[in-house]
Parts: sequence; structure tokens; C-alpha cells
Amino acid sequence: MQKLLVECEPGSKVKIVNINAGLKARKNLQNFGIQFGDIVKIKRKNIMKGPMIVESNGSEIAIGYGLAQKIIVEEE
Amino acid sequence: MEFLLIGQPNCGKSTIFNEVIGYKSIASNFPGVTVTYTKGEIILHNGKFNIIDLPGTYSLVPSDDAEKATITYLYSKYNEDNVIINICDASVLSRSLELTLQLMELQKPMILVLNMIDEAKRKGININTEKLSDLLGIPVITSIGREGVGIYEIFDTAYKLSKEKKVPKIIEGPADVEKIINQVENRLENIDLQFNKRFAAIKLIEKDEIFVKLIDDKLAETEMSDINSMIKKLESIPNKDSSFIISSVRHNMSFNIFEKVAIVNRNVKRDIRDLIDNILLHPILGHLFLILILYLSFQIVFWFGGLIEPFFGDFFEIIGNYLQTNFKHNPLIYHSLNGLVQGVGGGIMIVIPYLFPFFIILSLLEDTGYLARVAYMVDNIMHKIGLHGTSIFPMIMGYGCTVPGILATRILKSDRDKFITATLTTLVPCSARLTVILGLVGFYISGQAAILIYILNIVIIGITGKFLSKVMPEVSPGLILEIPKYHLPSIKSLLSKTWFRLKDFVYMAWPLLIIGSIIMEIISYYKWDNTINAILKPLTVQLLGLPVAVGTVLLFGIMRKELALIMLFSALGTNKIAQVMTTTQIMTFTMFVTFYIPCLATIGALSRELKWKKAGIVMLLTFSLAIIISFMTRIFYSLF
Repeated sequence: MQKLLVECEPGSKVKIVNINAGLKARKNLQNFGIQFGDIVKIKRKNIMKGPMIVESNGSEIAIGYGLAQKIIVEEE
Repeated sequence: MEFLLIGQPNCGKSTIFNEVIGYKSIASNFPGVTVTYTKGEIILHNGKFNIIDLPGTYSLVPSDDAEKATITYLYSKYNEDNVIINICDASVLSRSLELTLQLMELQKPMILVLNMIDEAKRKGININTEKLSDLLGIPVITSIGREGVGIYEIFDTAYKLSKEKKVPKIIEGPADVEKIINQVENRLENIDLQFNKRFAAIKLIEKDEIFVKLIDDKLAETEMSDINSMIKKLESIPNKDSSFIISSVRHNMSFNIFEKVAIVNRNVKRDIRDLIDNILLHPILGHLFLILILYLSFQIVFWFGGLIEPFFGDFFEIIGNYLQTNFKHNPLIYHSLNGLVQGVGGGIMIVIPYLFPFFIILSLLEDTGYLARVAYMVDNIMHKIGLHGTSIFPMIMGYGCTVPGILATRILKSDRDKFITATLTTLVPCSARLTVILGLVGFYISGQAAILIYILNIVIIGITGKFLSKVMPEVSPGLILEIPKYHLPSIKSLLSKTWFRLKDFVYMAWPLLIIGSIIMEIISYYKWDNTINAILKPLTVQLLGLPVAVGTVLLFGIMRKELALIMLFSALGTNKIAQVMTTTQIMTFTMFVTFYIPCLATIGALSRELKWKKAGIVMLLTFSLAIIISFMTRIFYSLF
């Protein structure tokens, strides 16, 4: 089932299906090794529209709320 | 011959650099136009080699100014004899290989260093270095920078490679992409470029702005349009942008290489450091710890500063008295020397008691990995003022010295964020302003009043940020930040980082401070201060209700803010301020000093980072803010 990254709960593993963000944001995500088809694990979420931390290829990346709203994922 | 250290941020590159350079020669820093890189020298097999430590970059397509500097340097040295030393964090090899592949495209002699190999093993990642070396066609060396393991081998191999001049293998992508690369490469055949043709072709297809600008004048319009139509053909099949196609190819390549060379044991013990984050990044507990940690950090700095500052104060007072008795008969020389002593002394009294402990603690928070977590924790709060968590770094640094704070805005990705953050950073009371706040308000009114100023300052920073983000709306990319593993910091790295940041003050602010003090003393010798005071009277006396004598104090406070206190004493002819100024006046004066035009060194840093026009706007803004706030303070206090 497809949903937004921002809706995922800590502990779940998801596959990135699409990134509906601008070129710049997509490039930034790429720099951290996050692209279509990658599988990431949600580690933590902050309150009050705060960022979330996902684990990708062994490193932990914090992603802002706004950006996480634009990333479409599929539950593994 | 240069060895260029390149790697992604947090790969331990600077640790390796310091490990080599630390005791063999002094690492010297040369501030470039937009960014600083560090240069050092080593002697290997009787030859001298320069080592350049370039700012960390995730890829060769830059996303901020620090990365841009690395890439520009790399391109400018393309035709020189050098060896690229690509350092990567072995525990995130798959991601790091994407930069390695890009560097290999340059077709220059290079080696790959798998640093923090112990960390990788702890994570259960075992890497077959021989196989990796075979696949890439470059030497691969493992190291543990912090323990000095493998360091000699890195530079010994680099030395050998500099003789052999062997370049990396060409790793081909999928056939359809290769076809276009070859076509573009052929089209470039008769053009005199200083770069490898295949590399140039890939960069053109990738639409790398920096690179395209670099070779733009070498390509005629017909060639450009031919190449563009080739790129269109590539884009037409998957209906995706060519820059994206190229980076996907590299992404998949890195993943495949990683799969071939690494065995990952998934059943490793859970890292205890994850448990620390369960507390420190807890949605509620985490914020409490954040406040506690920052509070304690500032307490330590204040405590240390308060402990040793009087010692230096006494020392410079003795020198001042000595000058007064010995140069009585030559007032001009006395005033000039006194200005010099005050300038040197004022600097020492900021650097040693306040800046040094502040930067040590800041580096400690940074090196352990906590500072990145601070950005994560405050991201939602920073959103309220239109910024992201990352903007907290320059602002926290601003509590030490505004100059390195402004320079730290380089890490921000958008010009708008940079501008707003730089403006807010100049409003943060630096340690020079701290001495005014503590020395005036803290001493003559109360400690609570001093704390009130700090709290009020944060509120005003918030309002200003909110205002600026409303005036300059922009959809910025949002927070993307690596959360590094917790590390025990090394003393060497702490000291070198602290020195690196102190240098901004020592080389930029201090000289201005000395010159400013001498000029001020000369002005008082020629008695020009009365004229200046008279000119500033409408502002100082009529609007703010301050004594007329503070005019010069405020004007020259631009040179050095902490001097405002000493100057106030000398302008009013007493250090018993409470007898000549009312509580209202002390509060108004301090508020004005805290907010108005930053010191000369800050103006220099602002114009360097934002260019003159925007720096002018910042100055105008802070000046108007200072007038409004101090006027309001006057009204508020006179009501009670």
C-alpha cells in the first residue's frame, strides 16, 4: 500500500516509490544515498511537525517534515 | 606535488589530516574568497609534498558553498601533478562509493581510503579490499584515523602512485547510457578542453552547472545544440531528466560494487549508542536534555571566564598605570600606547576567558555528534521563524564570536536561509557583548536583569526571523542532515577545531580592535569627542535619554563592542556608573549596544559571505532595531 513517508511509524521498513520534490531537494536526498527503489527504516520521529530520522545504507539521515510529506513509499 | 584529501562530511578526513600534519609542521589556513581549506606539508622519501584538506562534499554536483569551493579547487588543479586521496567512512561504504565513482571519472591518479574500518566491523560489515581495488583499478587502503592506523600507508601509496601516474579504471554503465556518452565524447574530439573527454561528456550530460560554465566558451553553438539533442534522446526513453539518469546509474553501480565486495552480518549486537539516542532524541525528554546541556555549557563558560578575567584585568591595569607615570610628559605617545595596550588587552580578555572555553565546548558537542542532534531537535521550532534546524549552528556559534558564526552560514543551502541566518546571528550577543551585559546590567542592576536581556534577545531574534521569513517567502528544500554516530572526540581534533575558529577572531577582529582603540585614544587626545557627541545628540540625548558623553562610546563601539564598557567609564570620567546613570539609562544603553550595528570585523565577514549590498541591509536593519528596542526600553522603564 502506498503512503507518504511522513505517515510511517518508527520501526517500519519502507521502499521509496516516488519523490515529488524539486530537483534540488531530490539531489540532496541522492547525496545521502536516498533514491527510488531504496529501502529505508524509520528510526525516530519528532513531535510538532518535527523531522524524522531514517536509516538508509547504514547511515542515519534526518529528513524535515515538509520533505517527508513529498516522499511516497510502499510498506515492505 | 599536491595530495588532495577529498571525502564526504564526517568521514574522518580532517582527523587524518591532523594526524599527519599535527607534529611535522604547522597547519596553515588560508582564507579564500568564499571558504577556507587547510594546507599542510609533509616530507616523504626526501621529497616535499603539500596536503590539501578540502571541505567535505557529498558529490561533485555541489549543493552548498563549501562543496562548491572543493569542486572549484579540484577543477582548477586538474592539469597539475597531484594525487587524489578519497577518504570514505567504511561503515557507509555503499553511499560513499558514489563520490568515489565521480572522482574516478576525472581519470586522475587516486587512492581510496576506507577509514573507520573498526566502525564498519562493529556494524558487521566485512570488506574485501583486494576485490574492491581490482574492480575500481585503484589502490584501496584501510585506516582508523583516530588511532593513527594506516596513515603512513596512505601517504606512502600516494607517493608511489605519484610516480606511476596510473589512472582509475573506466566503469561502464548500461548500454543505452554508454552510447550517448560515446556520442558526446566523439563530438568533443576536436575541441581543446583541459579535461578528460569522457569526463567532460558525462558532466555535460549531467548538466553540471559549474562544469558547463567552465567550458562554455570553448564550445560553439552548433556543438552545444548537437550535444543537447543527444541528451534529449537519452531523456526521451525513460522520460526522466538526464542529470537524474546519470546519478541513478552511479547509485546502482555503487550498490552493485558494494554487494560484490562486502559481506554484511545482520546479527550484530545492538549498539549501545542507539540507547543513548532513545533518551537524547526522545520527543519530550530530549528537549529537556537539550536545554540542560546548553545551559550547563554556558554556565561553564561564564564560570571559567569570571574566574580568570580579573587576573588579566589587573595585569593590564598595571601596564596602564605604568604608561601613565612614565609618559606623562608626552601625551600623544601616551595615548597611542594606551590605545595599543587596550586593544591587545581587550582581545586577550575576550579570547582566553570566554572564546577559548566556548569553542572547546562547542567542538566537543560537535565532535561527539550531539550538535547534529540539536539541529534535529530544534528543526520544528526553527520552522516557526522560517528556517531549518541547520541554522542553529551559526547562531549558537554567534554566542562565542559573531565572525565565525557568520562564516558558518556557508553550510546552508539557500541564499535566503543564509541571509536570514546571518542577520539573526549578528543579533546574538557575542562574548564581547556578554562583557558589556554582565559588566553593566549584571553588576549595577542585577543578575536577573542580565538574564532578562538574554531572554528578550531570543524573543526579538524570533520576531525578526518571523518578519524576515514573511518578507522573503521561499520554499526551501527542507532539512536533510546526516545524524552521525556518537564518537569519543580526540583532544587533538578539539584543539585544532578551536584554534581554527579562534583564528577568525584573532586575524580578522583583533587587528581592527587594536586600530580602533588607538584611533579612539588619539581622538580623545585632540578632544574631537565633543564634536562627535554634539552630532549624535539627537539620537543619544533626545531619543534615548542617555548622557551626551555616550555619543563617542556608541560610535566607536562599532570597532569593538566590549570596549563600550571601558569607554563608558572613561567618557563619564568614573567607573561608578550607578552614580551618573539611572537604571533606565543603563538598560537603554545596554539594549542599544546589544543590538546595533555589528562590530567592524562582523561587517567584514558579512560582506564576504553576503556581498556588500545585503551586508548593508543587515546593518541598516540591526541599527533600526536597536533604536526601536532601546527607545521602547526607555519608555518601559520610565513608566515604573
